[in-house]
Amino acid sequence: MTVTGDTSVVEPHRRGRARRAIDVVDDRLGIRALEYPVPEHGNKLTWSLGGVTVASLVILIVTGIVLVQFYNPVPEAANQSVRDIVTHVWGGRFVRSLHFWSAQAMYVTAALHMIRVFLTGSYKKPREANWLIGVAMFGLVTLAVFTGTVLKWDQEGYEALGHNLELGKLLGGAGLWFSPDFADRVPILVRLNSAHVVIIPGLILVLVILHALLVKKHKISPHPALPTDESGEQAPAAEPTEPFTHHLRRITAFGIALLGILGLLSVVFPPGLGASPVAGIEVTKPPWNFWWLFTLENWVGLNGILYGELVFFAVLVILPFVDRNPERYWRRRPVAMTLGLLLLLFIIALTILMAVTPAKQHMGM
Amino acid sequence: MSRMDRESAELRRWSRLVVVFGVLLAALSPASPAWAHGDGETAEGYQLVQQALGHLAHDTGHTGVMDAMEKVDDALNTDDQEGVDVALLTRAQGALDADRVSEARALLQQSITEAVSGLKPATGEETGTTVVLLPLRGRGGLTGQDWGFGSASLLLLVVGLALAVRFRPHDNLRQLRRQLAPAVPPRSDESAEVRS
Repeated sequence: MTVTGDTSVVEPHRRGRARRAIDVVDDRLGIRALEYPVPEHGNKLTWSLGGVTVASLVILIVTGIVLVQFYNPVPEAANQSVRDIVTHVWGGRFVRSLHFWSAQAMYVTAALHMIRVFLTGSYKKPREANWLIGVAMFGLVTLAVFTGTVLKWDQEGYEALGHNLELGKLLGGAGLWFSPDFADRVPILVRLNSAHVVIIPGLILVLVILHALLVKKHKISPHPALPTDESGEQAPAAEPTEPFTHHLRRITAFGIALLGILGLLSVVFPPGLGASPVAGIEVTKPPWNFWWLFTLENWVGLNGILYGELVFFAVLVILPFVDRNPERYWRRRPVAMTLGLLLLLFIIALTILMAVTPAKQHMGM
Repeated sequence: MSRMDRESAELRRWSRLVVVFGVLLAALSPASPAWAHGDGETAEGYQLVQQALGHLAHDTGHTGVMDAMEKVDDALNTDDQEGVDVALLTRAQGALDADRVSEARALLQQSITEAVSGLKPATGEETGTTVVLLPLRGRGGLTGQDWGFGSASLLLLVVGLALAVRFRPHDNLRQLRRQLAPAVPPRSDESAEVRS
């Protein structure tokens, strides 16, 4: 049902048992507060990518809870415990695979969501703080991918850890946590496990809540191809709205479809597991998410990873404060669009370069 | 402020940003690059043998065998051969020479049995690896379980897509544009975008 304005009158004539049950719950928990109006364009897939990212997070949390029942984060046993999950636990290979593919989905949908926000200028006043929260979440997702890679405790994971330890040294005091000296009697794998299963998802959940609250406060940004209100910061009052619960309903539908896609990928393309880790050699490539950084490393050394990552996130952080053009329509933002496209092409080009570079070439520099 | 003025101001802001980042990068970049992996050199014999096993685990082809032989040579020549059975190591070298990789792997692993059995629990960044296990493939042929999970996933995909269509917004962008048109006249370039 499409409504305009006040949503308190949504479907008042339908008073079935379910509706009465909702009333009972609402009297106690106030869940009807979720029925606030959302501009209709907010229900399009491209404007629901944040919700799809949350759906990926939910799948990750559920599969992660299953995996931690069987995963042993002690270095001597970690690799073997992953093998046991895959080969001896009923459904273990599927659950691990679903966890892997959900992580890929979360990374991709989060990136696509940010690209959509960039293209539609949704980070502009008054939504700068929410953009920053989004950037922080993307950083945490990247960290989650990294720590998850290490937890497998195969050669790829160990080499990823090795890079990170060296980056920690470059950062000096700021990288202390990543130093094995921080808690020298505890394997760093155990600490990374705690980061992967508690600290990072915990922070993401807190930020997701903040993100959602700020979306509610500032409302869904106006579609750049549609008129705005007088302030230029909101959709016009004349645009039809739907209750946020309908937005949730559509995101749930996308989430179910996503689960189906990820399930199929999990069955057909389950991730393997590398050999037990050995110190002092480098024979693997990092996960594709980090390929562009490793091309930079090939060019300029370890600093390439550090400064590449720092510059990337610094650009994202300062974007809303540098781009003061009030226009949201992409054709009226030629400079921002050109620079954004160049950055994206640069990252894609570096990624492709690493894809065609043999792992051996990355060694022994 | 006219549109051209705005674009010009925007261009100046972005230009300053690019220059600032360029200067920062130049200032932060060291004269000589640092590498994460160094040369991987170690004097401990059993670790050199493990490195040989690592090379063989990832590449049983010519390159992997050559890298492994280099590590075996280092292990045979290092001063620290504590816990390493040199006789077995020499046999492993011969097996590698003869391109009998599986036999070489077994001999290499046996040659460090004593060394790895005396290892203390790993701390810090130690691997804790005693036996270098080979990579595990994602899957072999599809099992009954795979078909079950696959079918359930397909069902979820169909249901999800059906619900997404069922709950789709009532108006597409063009219709929204038309509804809102009386309030604000359409702009020529945006109309083209909506049509596309």
